[in-house]
Amino acid sequence: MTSSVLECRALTKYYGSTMALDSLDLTLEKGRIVGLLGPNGSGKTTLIKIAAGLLTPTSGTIRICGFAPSPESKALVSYLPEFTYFENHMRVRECFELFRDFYDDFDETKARDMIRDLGVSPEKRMRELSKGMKEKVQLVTVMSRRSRLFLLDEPIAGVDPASRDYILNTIIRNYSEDSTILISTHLISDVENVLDDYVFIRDGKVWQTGSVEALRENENKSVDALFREVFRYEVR
Amino acid sequence: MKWEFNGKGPIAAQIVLLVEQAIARGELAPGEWLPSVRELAAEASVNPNTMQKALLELEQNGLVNTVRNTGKSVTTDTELIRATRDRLVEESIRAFLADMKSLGLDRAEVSALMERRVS
Amino acid sequence: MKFGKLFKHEFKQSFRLALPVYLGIIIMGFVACLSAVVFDRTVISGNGNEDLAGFAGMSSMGTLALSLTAVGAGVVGAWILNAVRFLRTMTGQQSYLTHTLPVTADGLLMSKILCALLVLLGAVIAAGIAVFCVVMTFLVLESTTPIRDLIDAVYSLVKALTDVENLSALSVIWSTLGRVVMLALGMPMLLFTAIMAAGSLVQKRKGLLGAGLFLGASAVLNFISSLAAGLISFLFVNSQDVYETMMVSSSMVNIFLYLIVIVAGYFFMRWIITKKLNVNV
Repeated sequence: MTSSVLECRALTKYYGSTMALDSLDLTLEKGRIVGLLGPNGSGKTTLIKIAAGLLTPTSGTIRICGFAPSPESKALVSYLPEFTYFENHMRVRECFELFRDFYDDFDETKARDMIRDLGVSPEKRMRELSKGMKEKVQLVTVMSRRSRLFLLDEPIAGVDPASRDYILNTIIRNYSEDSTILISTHLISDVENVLDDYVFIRDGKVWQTGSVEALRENENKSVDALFREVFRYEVR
Repeated sequence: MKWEFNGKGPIAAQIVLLVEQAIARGELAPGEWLPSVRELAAEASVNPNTMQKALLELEQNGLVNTVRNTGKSVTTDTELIRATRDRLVEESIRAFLADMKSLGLDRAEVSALMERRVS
Repeated sequence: MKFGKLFKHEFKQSFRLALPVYLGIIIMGFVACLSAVVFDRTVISGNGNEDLAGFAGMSSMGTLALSLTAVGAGVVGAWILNAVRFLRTMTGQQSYLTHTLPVTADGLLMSKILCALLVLLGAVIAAGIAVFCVVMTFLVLESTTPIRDLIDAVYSLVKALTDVENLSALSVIWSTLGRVVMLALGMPMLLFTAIMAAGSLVQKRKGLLGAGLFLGASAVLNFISSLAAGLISFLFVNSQDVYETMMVSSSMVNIFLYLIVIVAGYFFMRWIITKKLNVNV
């Protein structure tokens, strides 16, 4: 019985000869909102996809609540990719049905309430919604699960400010002491108020971790400022 | 009330200050019920743990009370509220005087300025 | 473990697309019947008016041929439907959903294979209905006793398939039938395996190579076993008995090889999903 929600040890991933993750070590405890922060190409998405079960590591270990990536771990993980993965012809309620069928921790009542607040009818098909609304519907569906680990890959990239507030709002409202939310982003100043901890990732390795409040108390610095310092010479 | 944070100091401390100001101004009435920690955090777009920490401090200062199984409310202790307002005024004045000093004004000049302004 | 739900969703999504195809097949069959009537009345029976008969005859014959081709295309279409759906849900954007569901690789594969076979079966049945209608149309038009003729035809077909007196011929027929069925059942599997190989291995080029090798190897195996039997019997065999034995045994070898290839394909796909997955769209 382990309390760590996510544990990576010497996690390495190669795409052919390109190295995406370089013997990465990381441990996440429960009840935290964590920012996975790094420039583009640093390995954020690769790490998240391995945790979600979409990629198999080249070497090293990864454990989600003690489970290796498997149907058991997938039942505990809620993954939100950058794009919508529901088929265009599906109605909103059919997406809910799908989640209800496969995930025991799906709270359909909560999902329906949130959809109603958005002003979207459950009968609407995905293709009838705007891109922004589609993404919000998917966010609502994914966040309506009582998962142990939420993996949000760039949830606010390319999103207008009002929608961004809605997304952060939804994340905060769905916070629970039993789960961990990992948000990967390169838009740090927009999310840092929401974070408990930050993880800097660079060239497939964890560069630095820490608590956001501790950083602000002890060094009077925002995470955004620290990031700029640390990655100053990042030329991409 | 408006939730605005700057990028420097810890958020919890900034929350405490903002709530104190709101109570001192009367934006938050004495005895008024506060939303849940999560609601407040969502409103302010901050981390719930941070909001919790700030509310704890406010409770320790006596400005916020927790009623078990019901929620949190602003204190009805008008003495305390006045004392808080006075403290905030003091801090504001101190900051103002420090500003003026850094701009090269001495006590007499500041006094004269205030006389002209206030009359 | 969640297989029922997997199957239910797969079924819904597959048949949503398959039903229009079936409808198309039936409609084409209907069109074929109509042109069969025109064809019969103008060309076969002859109605005196040469020019009209000529034109109507030609166009109805064309329509008949086209609509029957469309029926065949419908069956192929169902097949393509299966492949495209598999491609999209296992290696396309939707695979982000598929591979994060808390289900086993076996559950995924079995539900998709089963649904693919059902879709194919539906198409074959629809095509069968269409062809049956055309045949019936001709029978009704040409014969005074169409029902009788139909029953006779069916009876003689069944007799040919079950005539225990001519056992050797029977075995040739059944083994060849078995080979055809195996082919029909195995093709979706082969296609799925090729798609998985192409879509999921580390580098696309390696994947395509692997897929090509796999398909090529199985095609070659099949070809050799079929051709070898035919060639040998043609060149060296004079006796009917030996010929029949060769045909039966080559069919048996064929079926056996196919089974191995299909099973290997299944385990290959399973291996990719559990050990070598790379969802990168």
